[in-house]
Amino acid sequence: MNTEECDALLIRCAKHDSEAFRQLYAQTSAKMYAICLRIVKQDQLAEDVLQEAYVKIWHSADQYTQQKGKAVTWMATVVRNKALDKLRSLKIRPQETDVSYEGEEFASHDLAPEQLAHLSDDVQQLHQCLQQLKPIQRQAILMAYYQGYTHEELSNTMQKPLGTIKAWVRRGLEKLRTCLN
Amino acid sequence: MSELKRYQNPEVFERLAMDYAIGLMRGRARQRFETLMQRHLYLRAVTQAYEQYFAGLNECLPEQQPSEKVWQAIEQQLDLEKTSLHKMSQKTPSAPSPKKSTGLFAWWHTLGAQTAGFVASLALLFGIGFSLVNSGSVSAYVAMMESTDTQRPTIMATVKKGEGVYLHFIQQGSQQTTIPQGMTLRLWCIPKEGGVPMMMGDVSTHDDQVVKLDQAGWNDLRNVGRLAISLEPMQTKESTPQGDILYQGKLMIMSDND
Repeated sequence: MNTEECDALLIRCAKHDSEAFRQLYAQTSAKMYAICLRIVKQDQLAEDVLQEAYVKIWHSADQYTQQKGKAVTWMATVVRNKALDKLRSLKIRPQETDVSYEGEEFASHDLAPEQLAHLSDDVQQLHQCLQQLKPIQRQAILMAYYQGYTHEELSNTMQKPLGTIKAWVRRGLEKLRTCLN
Repeated sequence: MSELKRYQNPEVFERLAMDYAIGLMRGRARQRFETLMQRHLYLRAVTQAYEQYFAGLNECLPEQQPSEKVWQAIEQQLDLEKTSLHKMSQKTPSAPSPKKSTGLFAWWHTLGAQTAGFVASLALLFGIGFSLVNSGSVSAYVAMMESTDTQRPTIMATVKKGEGVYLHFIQQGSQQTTIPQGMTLRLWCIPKEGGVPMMMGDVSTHDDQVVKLDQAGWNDLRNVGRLAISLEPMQTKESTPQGDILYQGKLMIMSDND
């Protein structure tokens, strides 16, 4: 995925350039689908979310400017919010399927220099800040982000009192905020 | 403490923005927060900044290919919408370069000095101040509707609560809009998220006219992204535009409390 090219393609989408939209989809859909799948956990649901998200991206492309950051980041926010909306609309959390949690493992562990070098500066900083958290704080935050868990769901999954979970997340986010700023 | 004042506390801002960006905020709290973000520029900026930070976590996710039917479904859905708005994409005028958003003045800067002065005069004429948001409600919208034909006038549409849509033709070009016999100009609302346009009513080329809008129509405006005017046969009342789109413009809240 060429992020600069995606920036240019999304800007062209704002002018209703359907060819640019097709190329943008080709370059980004695999990443966006991965985001959906981790939250809703089922292929069909994830594909439904992906479709809704790209339709919204097409219609909202004029809201993107390069001052807002990378296009793929902007798109990922749209996709993630759609996935969270879908999760909210379901009565029960979908059963987990065979989904790799490589993303969470990566963010949890120390990385070798050659692995870090492939990441953008922003992500390297985020990784370093995450490493400063207690493992349990980091785990709770990453489960919330990657899988869309609420405080209550974290409490059930990690089998800890709700107040404890809220305290872990609160302190973890405070540390992150200080580190990122 | 009122809800808005609570959100004006920077400490509270930051915590809530992080909760939202991580995905911990749900239900009504999330809806309230999203509503406040629409109106409060600083809250929106802080939240977007944290969304940017955390979006880096997606960079390390392994990619997974969706099935081909997803793209086919997207194409089909957009084609269906294209059928309803069949000339809209071809007639879209070049959008002005996006400016750094400063709330009220985001669109102001795209106007020429003469038009900007006119807009200010009109706002005063209609008694619309620059702080219309009260108790969290919007009192007016505005859209600058431009034509692909630069010789045609620009139409300024001002939508005032409890009244309707005021249309004013700004004669920047030399050519007035001429309507062939048996045809009429028809005003449409285009939803933000796409979908079938909603007809508002027929308009003429007479200056300073108003299209009435009831309370339900006013409430629906929060979901409207653009206004458009097409050329339609007088006798027909199709539910979607069939003729050429002559004008369109983005609908914006005319005031901001930032």
